[in-house]
Amino acid sequence: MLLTALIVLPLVGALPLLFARDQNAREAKGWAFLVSFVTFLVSLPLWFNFDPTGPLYQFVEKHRWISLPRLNMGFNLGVDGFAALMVLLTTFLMPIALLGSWNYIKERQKEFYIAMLVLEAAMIGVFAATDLFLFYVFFEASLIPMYLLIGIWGGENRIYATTKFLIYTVFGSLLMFVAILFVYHKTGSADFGITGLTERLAALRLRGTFSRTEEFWCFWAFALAFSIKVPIFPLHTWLPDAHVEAPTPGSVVLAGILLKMGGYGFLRFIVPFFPVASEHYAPLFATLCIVGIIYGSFMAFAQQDMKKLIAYSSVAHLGTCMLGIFSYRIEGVQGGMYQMLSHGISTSALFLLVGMLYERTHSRAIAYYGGIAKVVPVFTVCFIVVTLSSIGLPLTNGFVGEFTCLMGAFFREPWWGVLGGLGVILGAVYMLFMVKSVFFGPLVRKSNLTLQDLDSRELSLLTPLLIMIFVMGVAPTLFFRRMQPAAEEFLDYAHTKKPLRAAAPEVPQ
Amino acid sequence: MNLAHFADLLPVGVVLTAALVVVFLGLILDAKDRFVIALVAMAGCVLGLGVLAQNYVSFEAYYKVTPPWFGPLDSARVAGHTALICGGAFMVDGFGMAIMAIALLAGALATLVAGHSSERSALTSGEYHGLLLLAVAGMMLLGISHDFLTLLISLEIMSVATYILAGSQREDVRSGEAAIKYLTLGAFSTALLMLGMAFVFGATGSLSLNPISMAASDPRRGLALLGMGLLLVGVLFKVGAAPFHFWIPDVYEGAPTGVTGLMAVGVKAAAFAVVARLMFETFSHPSFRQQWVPLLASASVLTMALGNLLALRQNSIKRMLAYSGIAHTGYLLLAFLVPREVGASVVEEHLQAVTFYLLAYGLMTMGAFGVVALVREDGRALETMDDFAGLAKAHPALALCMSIFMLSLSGMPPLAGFFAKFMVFRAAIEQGYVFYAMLGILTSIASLYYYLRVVLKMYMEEPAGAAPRCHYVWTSNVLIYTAGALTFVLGILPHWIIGLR
Repeated sequence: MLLTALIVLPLVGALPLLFARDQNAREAKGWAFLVSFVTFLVSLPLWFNFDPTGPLYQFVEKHRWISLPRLNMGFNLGVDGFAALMVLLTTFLMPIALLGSWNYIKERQKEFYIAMLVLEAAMIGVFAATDLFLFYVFFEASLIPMYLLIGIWGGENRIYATTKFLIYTVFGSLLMFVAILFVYHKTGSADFGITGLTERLAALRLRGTFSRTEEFWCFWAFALAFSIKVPIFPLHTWLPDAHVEAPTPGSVVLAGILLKMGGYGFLRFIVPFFPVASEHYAPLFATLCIVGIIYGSFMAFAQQDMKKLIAYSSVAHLGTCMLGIFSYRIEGVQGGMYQMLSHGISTSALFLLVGMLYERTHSRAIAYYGGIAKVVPVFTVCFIVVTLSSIGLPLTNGFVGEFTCLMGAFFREPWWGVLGGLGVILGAVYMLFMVKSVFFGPLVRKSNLTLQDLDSRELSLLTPLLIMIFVMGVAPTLFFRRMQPAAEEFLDYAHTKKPLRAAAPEVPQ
Repeated sequence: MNLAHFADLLPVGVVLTAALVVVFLGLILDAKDRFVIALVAMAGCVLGLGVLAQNYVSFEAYYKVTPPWFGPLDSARVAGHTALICGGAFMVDGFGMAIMAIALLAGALATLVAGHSSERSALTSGEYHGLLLLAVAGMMLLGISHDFLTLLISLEIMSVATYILAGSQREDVRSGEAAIKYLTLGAFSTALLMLGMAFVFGATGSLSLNPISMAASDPRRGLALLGMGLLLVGVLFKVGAAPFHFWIPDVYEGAPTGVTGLMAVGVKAAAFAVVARLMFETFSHPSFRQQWVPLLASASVLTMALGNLLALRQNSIKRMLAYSGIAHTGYLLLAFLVPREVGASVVEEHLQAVTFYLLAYGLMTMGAFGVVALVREDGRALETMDDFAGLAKAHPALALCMSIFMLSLSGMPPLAGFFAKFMVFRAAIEQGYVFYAMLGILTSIASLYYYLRVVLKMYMEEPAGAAPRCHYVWTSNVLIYTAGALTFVLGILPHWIIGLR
């Protein structure tokens, strides 16, 4: 019942807010933080009670939901090592993001916190669902709160950005919707269990009744949906807009968790369902990832706006991550998973830091600052630590993720590794350049002399992130041993080596 | 007519009685007590629903099985029972009951839609509610009609009542225009239908809707095909499918909002019942199917595309909802594409998809019209998109419900509209219409844009002046919150309704 509780808790927590009379109830943020913090505490067993040597899926729950003749959707939840970590990342980032919105959100606070809590429930559902239909429901349901978050509490150009965000994402997921229906029909309309669907599709492929053409069409429908989400070049154009306009907590959630749904979709659905098409297109996608890495880095270098810079750096980082996955090597796949977690931590921290700066000066322009290191030393130290983790300095989380991703890519095709490695160098260039221009050099602007350093709230919300940066950098094994069974299972599917279980369900024709 | 048949038709009787009572009440009540009329009308519909539910339950209790779902084929399943009553004039099967229920629901909700203050006087009168109930009775009868005569008569009961209702706002020019347009085009489509019936009668010598089977060499086949074509055009007019959709936006915009809701939901449901009877029964023979399935398929795609694209440019909410209704007709038509002769269970699945879709569509559309009918305190109606700007500030609950309706119409999970879409698209894909489903989905991306524009206006835009406040009308609130809650519940637990068969 743990996973159900995790989904229900934020929703139940949002209810009192819904009925709160006061639009700007001061208690709203405290309550929302409390709810998300309790959710985090409740999610801790996913770390402590997860047995890496145990079965692939743990905390499994099966509840009957929609059960009609030829139409079975279960409220089925369960997490493998990777999904458990993603759920933990969600519950971990959420209280931090809410704490980060403490002073930033001044209008319609109650609605803001409702949207955040609903978003949390949907995101946990996405990673915990083992039923494709349920997954799709959560996947789509997570869009609306994000749409509102950007559209209501965003910046100047928020309506353009949020509409673009929504139309892009829904375009992909609606095509996937048709493909899901097709796959369900093809596999005999039995049920939507992800493992069952995978096995039945494999059985159909063996029997030759799931043709290459069908598989390729379905692959593209799924791949488009998740590539937009990741985002893979050239489908990334919504991301910088969305990030720049989103309020800080929105950016944190968007970069930290929502983007990861894309990679998660490749790992969980696309490759296991359509291994032949995936193998066929792996070089294409790897090339797109490499282009994304280099293009994203150059674009980041050209940005004047810090948030936009980080947004483009996300395009590059997630390119690395997907490159690792498409390498189909255990190092690369695990690295890709690791990089997703690590990017979730570092980039969230960066967005929070930029948000804090913005709250003080209402400017995100790099040129606005310069030499503020002397004025705000603690802030500077935090920012530099996070920057170093983002560019992959050894002993930080970024190093482990990027290194393993590139290792996998190198093993597959040396030139993937070499070109992908450019991203690390370029990353160092643009990030350090930003740090240099913002924090060092002469202090030009007089008004920056009175900048406040971090207060205790800000420091306390950054501390867990900083700790995680080093924990993940020093002891990656803690994470790798959890993700290993999931990665191995993925590779079995990817290489179509997965032996069909004797009891593989019969497919009626 | 034996007594059992009487029970089957009792829900219609209840509504007709209520119609008489309401007209009578209109004559004797003072102006200030007029609200009683609406309540009595609604009570009639609710009572009708109750009788219908009682019929369903007692059938199950007596025969220990669920009522036959659709057509004579399935009726044979229940031994000792005949769904075909009154000498074959009516077929009271599960599908017919479902259409009756949707018509009753539409009627009950339509009585709750508040009129604009200028509409008030006309809309609280006895005639208005009497006609409304009469239209509902016509829709119910249309849902169970099983021969051309009862079909025609029920159609006319429904249509004539709605023609008058569309024009019941006498001071408003647009209302009169709507009535005239609706009358001429409606009469035109009825004429086509009658002509079609005449041809089919000429070919078969029977008025029954029972399946026609004709050898390909039969000389009368041409006549039957001609009749089928005319019937098809007639019903496509009534459901508002392209290319016969032109009347919809003007009529929807001009008619009083409650009547618009009734037309969008009830008339559509009843007309789709006729489509189902004709296509899955009368012309279900493969030699007919290969003629009408491609026609419906292209009409469906055209309807989805036109409805969604034209809705993009609308600034009036009622017109936007009208075009969106056209698009939804297109989605619904997808569920009728069955190119081969199939078993009763497949027909049942497809029609379950249709009825669930109609129910979901009914709830969200009625709810949306309930909001549109509200009047702002500054006297303006909530007519254009801009009138909704900033509504979330003054009326958070109302805005939330409106958002639920809009998101549900656009097919966002976990709302009823999503599951409805899921069912019809699944039906199309199972029959091999993957390409059509793809096209349909692509057009519905456009729909997301215009539905969300309402949400965007309510939540994200600042109003020109002060935040709009609306006059409080408790019947509207009952309607909006009930529809909102049901849209949500049916999205999460759709099997509660679909499982009823």
